[in-house]
Parts: sequence; C-alpha cells; structure tokens
Amino acid sequence: MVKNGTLYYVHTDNLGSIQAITDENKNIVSSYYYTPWGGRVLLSGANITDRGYTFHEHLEPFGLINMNGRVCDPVLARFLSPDNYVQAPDFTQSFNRYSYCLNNPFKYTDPDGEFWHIIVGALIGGVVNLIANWNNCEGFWQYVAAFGAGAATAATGGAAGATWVGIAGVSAAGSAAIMGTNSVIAQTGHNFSGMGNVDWGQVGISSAIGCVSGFAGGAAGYWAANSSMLVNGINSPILRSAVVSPLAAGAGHIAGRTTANLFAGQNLSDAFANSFNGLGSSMIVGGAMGVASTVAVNYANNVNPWTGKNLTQATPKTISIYRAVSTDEYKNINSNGLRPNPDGSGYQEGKLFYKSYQDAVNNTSAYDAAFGQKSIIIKIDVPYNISQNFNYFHMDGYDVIYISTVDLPSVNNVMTINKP
Amino acid sequence: MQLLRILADLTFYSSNIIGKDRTYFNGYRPAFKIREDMFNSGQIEFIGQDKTISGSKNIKAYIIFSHGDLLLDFITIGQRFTFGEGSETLGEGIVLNIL
Repeated sequence: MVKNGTLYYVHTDNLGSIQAITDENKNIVSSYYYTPWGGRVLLSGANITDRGYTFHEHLEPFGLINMNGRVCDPVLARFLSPDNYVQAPDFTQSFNRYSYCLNNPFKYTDPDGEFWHIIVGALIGGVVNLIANWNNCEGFWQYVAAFGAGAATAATGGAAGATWVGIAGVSAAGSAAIMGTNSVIAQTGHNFSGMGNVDWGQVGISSAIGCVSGFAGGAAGYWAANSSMLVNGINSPILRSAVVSPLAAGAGHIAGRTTANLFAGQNLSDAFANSFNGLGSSMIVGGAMGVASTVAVNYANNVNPWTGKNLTQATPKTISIYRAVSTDEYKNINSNGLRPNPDGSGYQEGKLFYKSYQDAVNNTSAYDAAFGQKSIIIKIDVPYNISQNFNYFHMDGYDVIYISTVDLPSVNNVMTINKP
Repeated sequence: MQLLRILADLTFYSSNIIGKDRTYFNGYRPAFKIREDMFNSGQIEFIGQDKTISGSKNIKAYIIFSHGDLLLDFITIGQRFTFGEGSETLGEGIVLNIL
C-alpha cells in the first residue's frame, strides 16, 4: 500500500482483516483490533487507511462498514438492507436476509455484501466429505461424485417444487456447488495438495458462474419438460433438454464470467473474450442440471421423460364399446356372433361401435326418433391388444370405432356381450 | 339431429381397387368424407334400381345424411367427395343438388 509516497505493508488475519501496517523499516505504523462483527478499534499508531475488517471500507463517521453491495452495522451485526438471494435453501440462516455471513463471522466472509463467498461457505459445509476423500479418487470419480450431489439436489427440488423458479433456483445452487467443487479439484489436483493452497476467490467465481449457468440450464430444462413446442421436431423432453440446456448454460456461463471479469477490472472486450474459459464444463454441468430438472419435473407431472407421453397407471385389460342394434340383430349376435353380412351381401360389412355409452344413447335415441325405429344398445368387452387393430375415427360428431370384416372373427372369439 | 337429402352421382370402385366384388343394396350406409375433420353417416337410395355392384359408374342416387346440421356449412353443389367403411375407401361422387 502506498500512502503519500511511502510504501506500507499490510498484515491480515485469516479473514483478511488488517491486523497491522508496517513501513519499509519493519516498524509497526498502526495495529487494529476488531469486534466479532467487524467494529474496528485502533490499538496503536495512526489511522492511515479506511480499510479494515475483511479489507472492507469503514465509514468511520457513521460507524458502518461498506461491503460494496450493502452496508453493514458492526454493532447491530446486521446489514442495513436485505439480501436479494437465498444462498442455501436448506439452511434456515439463509432466510435471515439481514444477517451477516449466516451469522457466523469467524468462519465466513462476505467480500461484496452479496452472496458468492457465502456459497463457498455452503460449499465447505456440503462437500467437505468429498474433499476429504479426494486424494483417494481419480478425477473422473470426483466429478461423478460432485455431479451426483448436485443432480440429487435438483431432483429433490424438482419433485418437491415443480415451479420453474424453484427448479432453476435449485439447479443454480447445485451447479454453484459443482462448479465450486470442480474449481477446488482443479486447484488441489489428484494428489490433494491441501486446502491451504486453494484460492477461495476463484472458487467463489466458479460457483457464481455455475449458479448463473445452472439457473439457465435449470430454467431451460423446466421449459423443455413442459413446453408443447417442438425443438426441431424432437418430442422427447429429455432429448429436448439435452439440446437446449447446454446452450442456455453456455449463455449463462458467458454472461456470468464476463460479469466476473468486469468486476475483476478487465475492460468489456477482454472480459467477454476471456469468458470462454471453462465454457465446456459449464455447458456439461448446466446441461446435466437441465436434464436432471427435466426428469424431475416430468416425473412430478406424471409424464414419461423419454417419450413425453403421460404415464398411464396400467394398460387396461379390456375396453368396452357400444353399438345400437335392432331386436333381430341382437338375437343374431347372441346366437351367431358378429357376422360380416347378416343379411347377405349389400350392407356395411364391418361393424361400427361407439366409444362411450352416453354417445350411443344420445345418437341412437335421435336416430330412432327420426327413422321411427327402436334399437337396443349392446356393450361388448374386447381385450385391449385386439382393440389396437380397430379403426378409430370421428363420425357425425362422435368418436366411433370400426371393426373390419378381417377383425370380426378374432373379436367373436373373445368378446363378451351385455346390455349395459 | 337434422336430416339432409342430396342428389349425387356416384362411382363405385372396381374390384381391382377394393380387392373383391361387392354388391350394394338400397339403404347402404357408408361413411362419407365431405368435411375435412370428420366422417358423416349417410344412407344411399338408388334411383330406378335397388342395388348396384362394384365397378359401376354414373349411378344417380339420393343420399340422406342423418346429421345434416353438421354438413350445411360444408357442402356445395359440384363438390367431390369419397365414401367408404372405416379405413377402406369404396367410391367417390359429385354433389348434383342439395334438396
């Protein structure tokens, strides 16, 4: 730190708070003490900087700490404005929107008053067992384990919530954890060089980018699950999601990474150009989150995620169909079954049936009135597999079934006839 | 339900097309394809004959549609149509007059 042409050295503690400032001759110029929530006390020397607690700016006239995104009061231990995000929906402290660092200031820091290092905190809590076992695993399995945790998060959230905000939010949290984990994996390597060497700022940025791309992937996955639109003619929600989610996640990655690079001081063109680093893994993770949320949403909505068709409870064993017949035909069917031409050749050869009893009643009563006749409605039960051969179409405003002469014998062998 | 009666010129496809020889009696009631979205049931009454066979052309007949109200807005004089049973198409025709 250079102040008035003089070079000073800044000494911080584990949270990044300034403990002491020394000059070139190793003399302590000033030393500080902090209350648990960040109140700064000058122990000795002169106050030559307004930086202090976790290297944030102290607004001494007001007794506040400027954390960039929000302003914190170290006496009240609260921010003056609420947090816009719920970082860890499964941790009740996250829902206290004014608290600082999940009310745990010795463990976590909040570099910008927003959220991403708090996600690192959640990450530490959530995947510490993974980290502990990393030196026993190869990279691929680390990846699988990390993904499994995130995918399970998304699936659980999807089954419970099934709103797009819920799905995308859980995807965002899951992806943030995954990308953060991956960042740690990348930094520690296969031989686990120790947590002390991990740059948690990078982990936070990766988490944030994972959050954005996961949110996009999750939202796209939800859309793919529910949309009736076709993506290039693809009917399967999973395949649709597999196409759309990585693209959305990739867009989210570029947006998030560009923003992070801008915060890091790069100009816009560099920030954008550099944003393509890690795009592939974001797309993979975002795509996986999108597909996971698609599966979750589909099952929550009772839809087969592979085909997009409704999951039926069970295939019915038989279906019932209805036909209006004259008294003579009724007798004939009872003794001889459904015959192609009961009166010899000349009339319809196959047989028409109604799909529902109510349709049969409605149309037959009108028919009988118009033609001065009296009909009997019969119901026949046909095995489901045989009913798949029939012609189903729409006639005179009713759903009707036509059994051709070819199929009549197979129906005769198995049908049961009753008057409904 | 409102009956609709039309005069039509019918062609019954030959056995080469439908695969077998058939006879059609007065009162034959196939499904007519006049509307795009549904079939309509109509009863054929031949003029001057009580039956015909597959392969006959220029057969004049009345057709009585049982649900004429569903056809009124869709049928015009000179319109071509087909008729058949289920998925089998057995013939075609032209509307000569709407009575």
